[in-house]
Amino acid sequence: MRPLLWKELHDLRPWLLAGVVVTVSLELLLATRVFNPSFVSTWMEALMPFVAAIVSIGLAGGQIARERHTRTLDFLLVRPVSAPVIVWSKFAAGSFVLTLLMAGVVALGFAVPEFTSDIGLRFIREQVGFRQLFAVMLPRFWFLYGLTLFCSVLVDRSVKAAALAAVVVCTTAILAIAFYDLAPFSGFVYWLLFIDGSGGLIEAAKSPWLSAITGLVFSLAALSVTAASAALLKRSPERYLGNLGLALSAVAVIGVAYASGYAAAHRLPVLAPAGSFTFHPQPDSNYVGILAERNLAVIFEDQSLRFLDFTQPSRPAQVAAVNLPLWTSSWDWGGPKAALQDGAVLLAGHRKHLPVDEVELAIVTPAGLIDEIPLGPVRPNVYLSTPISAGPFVYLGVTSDRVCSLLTYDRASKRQVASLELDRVRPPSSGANAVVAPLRILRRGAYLYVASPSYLTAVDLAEPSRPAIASQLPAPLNSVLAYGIPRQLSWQDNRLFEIRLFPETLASYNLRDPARPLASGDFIYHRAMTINGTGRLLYRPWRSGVLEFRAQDDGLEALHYLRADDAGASALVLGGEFVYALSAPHRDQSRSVHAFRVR
Amino acid sequence: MTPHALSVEALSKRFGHRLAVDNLTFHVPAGSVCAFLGRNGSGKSTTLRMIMNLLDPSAGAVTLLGLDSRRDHTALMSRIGYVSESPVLYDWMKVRQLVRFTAQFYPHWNQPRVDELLDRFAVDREQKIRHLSRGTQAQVALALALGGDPELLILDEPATGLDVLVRRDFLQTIIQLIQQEGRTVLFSSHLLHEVERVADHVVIIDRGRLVQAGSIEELKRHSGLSLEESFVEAVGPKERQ
Repeated sequence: MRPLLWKELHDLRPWLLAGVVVTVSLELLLATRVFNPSFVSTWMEALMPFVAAIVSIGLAGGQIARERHTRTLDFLLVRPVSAPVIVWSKFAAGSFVLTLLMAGVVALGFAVPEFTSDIGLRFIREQVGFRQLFAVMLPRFWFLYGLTLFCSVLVDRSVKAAALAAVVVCTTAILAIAFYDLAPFSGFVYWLLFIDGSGGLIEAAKSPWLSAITGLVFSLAALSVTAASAALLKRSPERYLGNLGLALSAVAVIGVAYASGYAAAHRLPVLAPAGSFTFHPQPDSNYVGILAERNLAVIFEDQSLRFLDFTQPSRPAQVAAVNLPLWTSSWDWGGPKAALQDGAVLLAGHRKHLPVDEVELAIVTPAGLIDEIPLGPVRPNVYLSTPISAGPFVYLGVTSDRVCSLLTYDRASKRQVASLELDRVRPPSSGANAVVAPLRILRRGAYLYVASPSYLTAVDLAEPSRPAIASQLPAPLNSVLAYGIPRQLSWQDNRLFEIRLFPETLASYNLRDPARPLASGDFIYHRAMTINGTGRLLYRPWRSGVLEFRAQDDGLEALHYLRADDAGASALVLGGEFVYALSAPHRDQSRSVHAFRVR
Repeated sequence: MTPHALSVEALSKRFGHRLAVDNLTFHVPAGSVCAFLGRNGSGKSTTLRMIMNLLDPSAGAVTLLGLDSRRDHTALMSRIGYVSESPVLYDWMKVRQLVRFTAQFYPHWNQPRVDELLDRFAVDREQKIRHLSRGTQAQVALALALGGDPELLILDEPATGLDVLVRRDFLQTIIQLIQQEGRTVLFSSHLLHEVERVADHVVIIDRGRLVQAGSIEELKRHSGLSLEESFVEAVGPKERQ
């Protein structure tokens, strides 16, 4: 094996030299500030896996195929050395070079530590170090290298082997992206080759267990595919794919990928909307939201509201349109700043006023604006939550001067009757972002659950005019960068869910004792900032519609795809027997409300 | 009865619709120098490549030195030397490096013989292979094939593309080799006058089929013709059909 290793290392020397030259040059260019920090971020998230893939494919592509093409393979095959030894020594030499090159590729992502202005990069660097990322990436690209070596045994030109491997990789990547979307709750993200938005690879790198298990599986796969290469070369050293065979193989790979993608895309029963209503939003409106109660859906924009009647879902009708001149419903973090109760909309917003704009709670019915509760002048860095209407009282989460409070208003007297301090904003480290965003509030029975930067608070409404803190759980952070970013709440049966960011996870709490939520584990969750629950089922925007799912034991089970054949849902809300999904703008800027019947 | 150094049994090779080698059976006695004759494209190289397990036969079996050519391939390769029609060597290596590289594969390596051959062919050991002429490369390939002290030497058109003097050296080397006890040589050629000088056995194939096989002496005695005349008679008439 020794002479073969020597020869192989000699053959791969150009790769090694190129790797050293490129890595050192880039490092120097970074150190001399030729690139701005975003280069490192782009490198980590997009270029690094791409370059690693090119390196893996390039290294292996020629190892057998080129020798077959130049007929030097015959020179080896007529020596007292078996085909498996030839393949394994190529694999050993290639793996050695790959390890060095991968170290360079990953190291570039950690070059110049003071580049920390980029959030994505900060997140990655905060979560993992060079060693962890290297340990999780190497086995993945080792497998890709092994796979390309297998392709190299199948053909007679390095370029063909690389092309075949590239077809496999591109197809797999496209399939991965498809599955990534189609299997939103699976551990699939941990197996990706690339650093995705929800940080599957980073998560895998962070956890020694996940890193070990995925690394082991990818390493075993690399060894298995190399064993297959060795067996193939031993069995018929000169049998390889011609151009037709190569084309057919590529078509077969794409076909299998397409078929599995199609099967995955169609694995869920599809439900069509019971009815749809299309409208054109006000051209100057910054925000469009939706509310619902039983058969009534309300679309609210900055200065207008539409009341839609879905009593006959196949023929929804607009029952009223109310204009609110000088109103703005959205001035922080988006999110619905409105609630619907007994046919009346409770809208938190601000009205243009002289000398200063006023924050108000407006109560609007189809007949028009019937009441306003003034909350004081508009001030910077004050954030309001969605108002929660319960009987004669309205509860509103307010973050002001870094203090998070729950305010109680009496609708009849239009006065604040109670204020309950829930949290004080304390960034966990000096380097953390000072994100202070609105609270998220969920009402379930006689309790309110409030997600504030530091806590999840259960608020007892036994005495509605005087809400009291029943319990507080510290909010664990996935990353210090996530501190202060709102965590949306939802519920199903005895479970309370909270969406956490960096990476996106669905944290679950047990509500057997509603006064004392108990943290009961996290679910993998990604690409969705919105979730809504009827109590029995959960819904989130998904593809061009809504995904219906439920939590069961340790997993989330997708049940139905509520397809709107639309631009995708930007917001969804539950009312009575319907899930109402508000579509993102269509090409003609019109939008639709689709009502899906809940089973 | 002399044991066979090489036995080919019902060997066939099909490339698509074309049958390149058709049910070929012949034996090469140990210690003989056997010429493997046929016109261009008659299937000689295909047969030799199948014998060397570089090509899968469609049917049939090959026994080399009493061992199965496929099953015992690696073990056999330390006892067999092979030089292909136009041998390809690692052209980035120096001759010295290539010799050392090759030597490491063999359990017994006869360095003095390799040195002697390289000296005789006047090969500069510090030259890179890519800077050598094709003829010199073929000589280096032969030296390497002989370095493992092979019991069986298989040469595919060893003299093709070589000038007369080099060709002479080549053949001389083969003769020298067989003078040592028990060595067998199988070489393909279509240059009959040279074959007659060195070979004692002959296998003639045409269009993948066996036409004649046996010792040259017997062939001449039976037919009363020279080797060249026998060859033309065996192969020629089909050409006129």
